[in-house]
Amino acid sequence: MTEPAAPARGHMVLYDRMDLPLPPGDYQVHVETTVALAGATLPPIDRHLRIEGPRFRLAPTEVAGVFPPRNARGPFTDAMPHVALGRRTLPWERTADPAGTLRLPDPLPGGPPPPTGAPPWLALLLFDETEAPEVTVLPNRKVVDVLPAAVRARLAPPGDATCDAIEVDSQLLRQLLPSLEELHLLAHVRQVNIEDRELSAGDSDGWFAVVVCARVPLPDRKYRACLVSLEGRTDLIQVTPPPVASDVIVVGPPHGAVIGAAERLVAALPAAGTLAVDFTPIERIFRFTSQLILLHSWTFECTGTGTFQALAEHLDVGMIGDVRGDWPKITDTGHLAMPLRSRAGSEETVWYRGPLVAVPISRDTRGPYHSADQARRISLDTGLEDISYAAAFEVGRLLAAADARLAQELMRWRRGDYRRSFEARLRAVIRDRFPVLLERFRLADLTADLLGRWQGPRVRYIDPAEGRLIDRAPGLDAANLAVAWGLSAERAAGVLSIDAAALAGTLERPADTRPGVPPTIDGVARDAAALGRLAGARERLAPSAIDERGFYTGGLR
Amino acid sequence: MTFRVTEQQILTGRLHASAQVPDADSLATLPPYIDAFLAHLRLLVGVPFHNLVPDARLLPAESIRFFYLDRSWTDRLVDGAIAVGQIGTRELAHAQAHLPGVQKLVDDSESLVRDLQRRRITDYVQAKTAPGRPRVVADAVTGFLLRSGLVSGWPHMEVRAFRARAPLTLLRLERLSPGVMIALFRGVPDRVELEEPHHGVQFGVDGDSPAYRVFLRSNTGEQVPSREHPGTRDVPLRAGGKNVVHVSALRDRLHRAAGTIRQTGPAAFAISVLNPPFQQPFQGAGAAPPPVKVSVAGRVLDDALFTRLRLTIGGSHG
Repeated sequence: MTEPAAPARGHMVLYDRMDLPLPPGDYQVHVETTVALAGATLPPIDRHLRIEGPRFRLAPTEVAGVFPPRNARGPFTDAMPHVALGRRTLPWERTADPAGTLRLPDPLPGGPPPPTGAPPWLALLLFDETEAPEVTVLPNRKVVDVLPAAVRARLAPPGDATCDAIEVDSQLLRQLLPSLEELHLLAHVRQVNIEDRELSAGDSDGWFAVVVCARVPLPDRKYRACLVSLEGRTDLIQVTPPPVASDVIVVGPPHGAVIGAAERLVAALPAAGTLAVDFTPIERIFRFTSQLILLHSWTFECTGTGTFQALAEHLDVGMIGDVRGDWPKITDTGHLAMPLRSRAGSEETVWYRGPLVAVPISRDTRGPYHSADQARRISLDTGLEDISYAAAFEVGRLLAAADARLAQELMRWRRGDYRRSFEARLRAVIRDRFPVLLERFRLADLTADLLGRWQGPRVRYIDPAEGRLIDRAPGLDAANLAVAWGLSAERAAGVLSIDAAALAGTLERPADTRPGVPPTIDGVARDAAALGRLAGARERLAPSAIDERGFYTGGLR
Repeated sequence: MTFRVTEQQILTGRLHASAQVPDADSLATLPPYIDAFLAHLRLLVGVPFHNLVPDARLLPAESIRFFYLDRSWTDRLVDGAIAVGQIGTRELAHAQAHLPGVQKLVDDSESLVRDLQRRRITDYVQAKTAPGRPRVVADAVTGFLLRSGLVSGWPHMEVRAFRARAPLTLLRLERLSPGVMIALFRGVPDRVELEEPHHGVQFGVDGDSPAYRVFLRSNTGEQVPSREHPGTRDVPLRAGGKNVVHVSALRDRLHRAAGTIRQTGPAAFAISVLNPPFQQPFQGAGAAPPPVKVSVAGRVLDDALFTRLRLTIGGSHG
């Protein structure tokens, strides 16, 4: 069976009903094979299978959505409550009239055609719970206790099956319960695009069965909506719907005895039209109740703030600064005069305007501003001060100061920039002042090396005296250079300060240890001169000046 | 004789190059938290209500007030926020150099605020650097304040703004209090719609009990004969005063109305009692007047202070 294609977003397709190919029940599969060969027979095979579906209970997960929303408060005064079920065939899997005993009345001439198929078994009922609840919920009852004997015999429920139930006044139930035709009309199938948020398709397959309630909530009342099972309840379902309100002729006194009702009825007979008899008084005396299997229920409250439409259509519409009446006085630029106690303690009147304005305003390009005072202005027309932007500055400052993390992040941001600024400075110093070093080392390596030696609490990048730190860098210290390169102290100082005389001679360079020229062990061992220099250098350094990573840490004055 | 970089030289260098690091480098390392915080600030998140509406009479009960957002005002909010922890000249110089860049960056970040608020974005950095995201430059921001029972009664009201039928980006839609809502759009709309919240598709009737009516609809759910002048039918109620719609009688009435959906079954009936959300449009001229120059024709109150700061920082002002 191929599914119809999903409708476009924002669209939905409705179907009257959807019947299961096999309704729930017990089935027997009987297979007989006829073999056209003399003497050969195959025994018939019997297999049993049971198709199950929700019957006395409905898992909450089967309910895809309800309206009005569960426990909602709102003006639902024009809504017909409904429940959407994720299982599209559910309302038609069973029927209110399994034996087919009920017959729809003949359609009126010129009226709509009667619905077809077996009537669905689900109905949504709405009960008022404002003062005396119209319904009593009875949790965890035995199904056999809930159903009347005739229905019990027809459905034959398992003896231990339990369900939730409701108990309702019979007369009220007759007023609320859909008639046979209405039962059909209040359930349908809906197909929506699963991408569509509006139709709250969620993670479903886009198909829903929808059961609608015919009772409309009234304002300022609390309601309980109940999805009930009417399977086999031909005892309750009326074939002819109750009369329309305006056509009713109420017979009999509203309270008390019904004596004389027949006489009044005859007297009240209209010449033509519908006649109905309201049996309210009789039932008031006897108080029958009915019980129904409850599958799902939720409550909501209908508050009376008027409808959305009524409120929206009567809004006072205007631009900001539009004032009805004389006050407050507001300038044509949207400023409001306000009292202010100045810094000096005197009372002043100032202009203020918030960020919401009635005309577009060009952006101030004079910033950035660093204090609120920078943003104070004098209005030339009035001589009064305009504190609008100064106030904005202060609001921003206070909101930021109230946020502990922001202050930390600001500090982190600045520190990061200061550090990078320092690194750039270091690079510049090396490049400009120590070209000799650049003959041996790449600038990036050198900078990284120098910075690497400074990881630790000793380093304060925001220290304005970073010049001293640069000067103390191990590679830039004359004494260290002298040790490492085997120079005299004067010569090393001369090299670092680019002294012409010091640079004139030939520098005696140590063995090349630049990365990228991989030395072999043999090569190192053969270079006795370099090893000797290394040993000599180490001896001249204090042992404590070399840390566990082998970095030279001494020499910082 | 050792080479020395003196503190004096360092400071001089710093003042001459107050940016300290190139703007792009600084902005690239701006912590996302700051970026997001400032973007929220720009959309007035957290700004006290009395700073927005200094007098309650500017927003009376059951009113809607449209506005332009004063970008200078929100820029000052950002300036003020960055001023936190500015204790020395170095911080001042840093702010002077990078604040204009930060403001531009935040212009772009504003569009992410709504998704952040609705938790549609979990990773801000990823969302901001997503390859498909269009970068946004500064544009007019408009919006409205609504004080009405609509705000408390319909918490998920839909708000839409259009310009020449093209939808505008909704930058912020938030309840400031149970009865007051603020909406901000990017651009100047010529049409704003408030729409009743959608709870799936609703069924219902129009009017008040017991004088309910339904609108006549075609088989696609459109009101007939036209949306502006739809036909209606009174809704019959069952006897008994329980406010129950007489479904059979209603269907019969609808069936006899010409030009509407044919009442063939439950689906046709469902379409007839559809109750689509109500939509309230607000129509405007759409043409924004030319921008007015900043503020009340004013001048700097304390010129001396402004000049002093300018000298201290050594930067140039646009």
